[in-house]
Amino acid sequence: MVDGSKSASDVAELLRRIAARDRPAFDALYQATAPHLYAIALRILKSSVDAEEAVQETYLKIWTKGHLFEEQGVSANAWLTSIARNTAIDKARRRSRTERHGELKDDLLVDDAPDPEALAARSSEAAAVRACLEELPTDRRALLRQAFFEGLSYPEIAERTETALSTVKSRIRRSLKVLGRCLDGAPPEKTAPNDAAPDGSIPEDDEGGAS
Amino acid sequence: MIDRDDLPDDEVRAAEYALGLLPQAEAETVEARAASDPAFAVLVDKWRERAAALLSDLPPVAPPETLKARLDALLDAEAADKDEAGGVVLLLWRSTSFWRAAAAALALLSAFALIPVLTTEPDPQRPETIEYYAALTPTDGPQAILIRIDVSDGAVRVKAFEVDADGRETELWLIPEGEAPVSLGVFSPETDGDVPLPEDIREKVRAGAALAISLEPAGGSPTGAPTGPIIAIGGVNSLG
Repeated sequence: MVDGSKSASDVAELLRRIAARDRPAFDALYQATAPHLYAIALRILKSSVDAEEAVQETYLKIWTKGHLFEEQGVSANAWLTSIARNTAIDKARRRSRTERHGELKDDLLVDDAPDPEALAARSSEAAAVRACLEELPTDRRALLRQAFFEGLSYPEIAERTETALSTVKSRIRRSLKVLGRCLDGAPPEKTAPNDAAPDGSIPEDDEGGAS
Repeated sequence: MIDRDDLPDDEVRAAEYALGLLPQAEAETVEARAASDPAFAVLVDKWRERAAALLSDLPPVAPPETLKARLDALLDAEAADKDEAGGVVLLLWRSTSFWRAAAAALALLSAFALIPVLTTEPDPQRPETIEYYAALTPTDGPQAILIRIDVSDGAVRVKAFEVDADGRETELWLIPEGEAPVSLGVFSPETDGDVPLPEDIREKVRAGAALAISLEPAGGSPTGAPTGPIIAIGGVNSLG
């Protein structure tokens, strides 16, 4: 996430200073990370107004909870992005309670992976996760991404897709195993971004074919 | 080539936890295990990094510049209020969308944005104390005005702020989630002061509620609902 001028260790150091209520450190962190956290909130909330509120809340949490970062075993990036995601998902849930959103069923089949051209300067971990996701059949990959960005649990996915819970679990766990094996092992052959069609459709791999 | 899916192994358990697929109770089980099983915790952290990678993969988008200005105003207001509040950590949340339905009914005059804020008392000796803060920030200026709601002692403390009331009085409203506004009474904006929070509605001050200030005739709204322009409004949110 912290591409550009700030390295990951810089951001971790900023978080330590923020824990000591260092406003300049907060400003620097904001400059380095806000476009990334805003993108997450936008992706989840699909509304610039709501995303702005979620990001504001996210940074206020960072300001007041910066001291908790050290207790976590994860990177600054993982800590920040998870706060952004959780905050946006909480907001989306509140919103859907009041606005009665329609079914998400159709959404679940849309693969909204980012445009390959927009993938410059990603971290190697992000590139690896993306590459390994491509090992999954298109519909499974879309389901996993959508569940993650909507903050859906197994029972919620089952309900929204009108699929038996056991089926949902078994499908997703299978996907997670494939993903985990891929990420633990040698990275798959990276396909050139141009292999994906410009309209975003992605050729199905073998597992996606009819058996 | 397709795996069998029996009971999830630790790897899958960690993955589904990190991706937020588990219902609350199961997620808590995973957290408890991670806390006592370092090897499992390593797996969980590994998958948390992978989840973060998925988030980081989104193309960055510059947020509106007003966002940083508002954050600055809120942190300035917090710093100013901190001494008085006895070191209470201040968390704030501005809402415009959440109370949109309520606002429509109230004929919103959007001269200000109200920023309600929840603080959780970090002192473990006072774990039940939950205070809510609200801060009014003029949309075109950096100065924030604070409202603090102390549910435990039932006081709504409104910091002084400037308003062109045009001879009318300012009245504070609580808008519980999904309900009509409830008057908390008229107050003077010229000085810091307390507006009492009736006991029977204290439980309604929580995430999902909104606060609003309207301009009303002397003595307050004659109808029990806001009649004048709403000069500030916003939601209350808990932060977890």
